[in-house]
Amino acid sequence: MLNKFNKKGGIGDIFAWVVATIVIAGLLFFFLVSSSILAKNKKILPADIDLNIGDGSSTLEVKNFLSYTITNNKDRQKIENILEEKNV
Amino acid sequence: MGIIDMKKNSLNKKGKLLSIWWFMIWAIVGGGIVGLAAIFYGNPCDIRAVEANLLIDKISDCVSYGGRINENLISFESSNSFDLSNCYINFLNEEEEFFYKISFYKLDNLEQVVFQKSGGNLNLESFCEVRENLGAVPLCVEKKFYSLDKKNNQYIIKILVSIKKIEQNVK
Repeated sequence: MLNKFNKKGGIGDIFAWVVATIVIAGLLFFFLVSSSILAKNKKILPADIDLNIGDGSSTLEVKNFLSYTITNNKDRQKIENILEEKNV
Repeated sequence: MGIIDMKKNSLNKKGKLLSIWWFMIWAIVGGGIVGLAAIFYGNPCDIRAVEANLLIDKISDCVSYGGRINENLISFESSNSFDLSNCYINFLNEEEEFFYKISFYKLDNLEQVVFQKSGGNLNLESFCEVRENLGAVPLCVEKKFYSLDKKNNQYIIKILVSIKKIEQNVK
């Protein structure tokens, strides 16, 4: 019996290939689904870009700094607290 | 037929069977890679946050320069005195896609708006009140900074920008 199977190239071999194909197809399906989820949430944020291009905060920080300098840092702490708060 | 020929035949038979499976595996893997790339790069990338920050940058440069409010452009008596085109900013034919609001508050009284100017598509402002991420809705960015007028009166300037551009950035 064993000899017969071995001679035919092995039913076990075919079974292994079928399983391997299903596993690979399943994995690829999983990758396709996850890539579509990732693709939908694709974003470029200011922090992702070098040299502060598109990051308004750096320009505004310079403006704050210049105003603080003109007033000799008067009320600086108070203003910084206001700027950090979410709502004015 | 010798022993070597028999072995060759058996190998060939097995080889044919395996080549079909190999072909299938490679086809699945290749198709999968192409599919992954197509899906990932086929979807638009949301760059509205960068765009909004750039617009805030430009507006802030216009209303305040060197730590002081640009009083050549802004008169607190009338909001009509100010227009974004004076800052060399225009939305060309995409006015419907943008909204901006500039508000000046005195440091002594942060409740009261001293000067306010808004423009673009005014309907977009309502989306900024909803802070939750609802998916394909206009994106809002708000920034604040501190500035002075000629008499050294202190102001907090708030700039709110909303960008629609849903078709180009969100699927």
